[in-house]
Amino acid sequence: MRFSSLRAGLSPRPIAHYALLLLFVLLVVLGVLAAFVLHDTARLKEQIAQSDQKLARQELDEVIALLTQQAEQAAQALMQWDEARQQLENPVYYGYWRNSRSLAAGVLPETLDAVDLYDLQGRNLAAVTTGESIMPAHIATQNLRPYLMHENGHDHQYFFFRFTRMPPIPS
Amino acid sequence: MNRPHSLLLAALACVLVSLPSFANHGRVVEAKLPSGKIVSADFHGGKSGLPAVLVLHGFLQTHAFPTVASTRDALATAGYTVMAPTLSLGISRRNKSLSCEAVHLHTLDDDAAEVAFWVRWLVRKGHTRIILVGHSFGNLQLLSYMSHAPAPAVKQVVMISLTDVEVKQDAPQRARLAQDLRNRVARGENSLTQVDFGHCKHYVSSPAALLSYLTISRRNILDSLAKSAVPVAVIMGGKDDRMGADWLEKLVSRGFAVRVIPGASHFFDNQYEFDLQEAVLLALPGR
Repeated sequence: MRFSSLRAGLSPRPIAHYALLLLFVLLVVLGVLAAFVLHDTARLKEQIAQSDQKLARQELDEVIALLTQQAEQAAQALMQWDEARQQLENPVYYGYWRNSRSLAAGVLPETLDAVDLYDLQGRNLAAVTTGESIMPAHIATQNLRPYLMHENGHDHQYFFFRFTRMPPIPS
Repeated sequence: MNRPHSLLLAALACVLVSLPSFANHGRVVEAKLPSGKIVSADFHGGKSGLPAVLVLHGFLQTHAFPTVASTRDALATAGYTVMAPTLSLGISRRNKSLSCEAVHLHTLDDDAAEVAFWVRWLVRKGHTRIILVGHSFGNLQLLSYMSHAPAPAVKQVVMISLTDVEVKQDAPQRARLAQDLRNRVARGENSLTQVDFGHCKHYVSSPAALLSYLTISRRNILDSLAKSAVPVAVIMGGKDDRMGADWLEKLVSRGFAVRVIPGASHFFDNQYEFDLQEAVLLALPGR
């Protein structure tokens, strides 16, 4: 009989076989689960890293915008300062003014390490080669772009602005 | 009352309320000096029958200095044409008081030339009677102008808190400093010098520029006042601590018309502002 031969084929096996089978199945299931968890963790890590990068970039953009705004305000203060305009008109004693007045008079923010004035050809009115940060001796008068420079163990952000004349008062 | 009449009355009331402000309307005028520097002055047009008054600020100040602004406003309200220039002190469009530690390259002659410039400006506008009013060191700049062929249109000078130049350093000390500066100029030394000068503890100037101000002494102030071609009235504060103890006596003993306002400081601040205004108005003709 076919049925009896089948039963004969499914004859009881030792319990150890079943235990091993169960263990194998459990290991496979656990392995699959571990693979899922590992995959999800890696994906999560990547998402967190991306989010951190996005936030950092956003923060950096905000800081740069704030720094630019502060630099623009400082430039405006400088342009409206009688003494700065005096130096552009008559730079004979510019060295004294730059070293003793420009940052000490309370007109410009304390966060500035250096300030310098340039003539229309982009030449520093009296370039110096020592100090906390060295302003360039010459700048291109077109495309006055800010740049970051690592010097003396920390970074300095350099800003350049065109010095505009005060508008005439209508009489 | 019907609606059109109410509106008409309201409009009329608005016009009447705004009239005094139109009468006292001031404006800042700008002009170019022969040197190319641009200078400005606060100008108030006044009644045609009254003289024009030029009010000059003190050392390193501007026309916005409170004592000057208050005097200018009182004169404008009284109907005078008032001009309050701001001396350039070598800086185009200077609009703030200049710090003692700034680079001072201006000279007394430059200041006097600017006073002359604004007097000419008033004359060109048709003013034939001009009164000069100075505060503090501004009086010395006016005196310097008066000693260099002043315009015939200038009819009187009123000096408020006439500066005593020898309050910190006496005449021999000033003479020594002047001689030192003269020597430096003669040697061609142009490096900046830092001295105790005027109200400044650290006044920074070139030797030649500083020397120009050291030509002023008590003696030549008194002599210039005595030689003045026009009447000079002096108004002093009774508690002015920027004067030598005997400065007032010296002025009085030389026979100058000095009015002392008891209790007032060099700046006639607080309640003395009104006493000063009254004294200035009393010193002027046309009232």
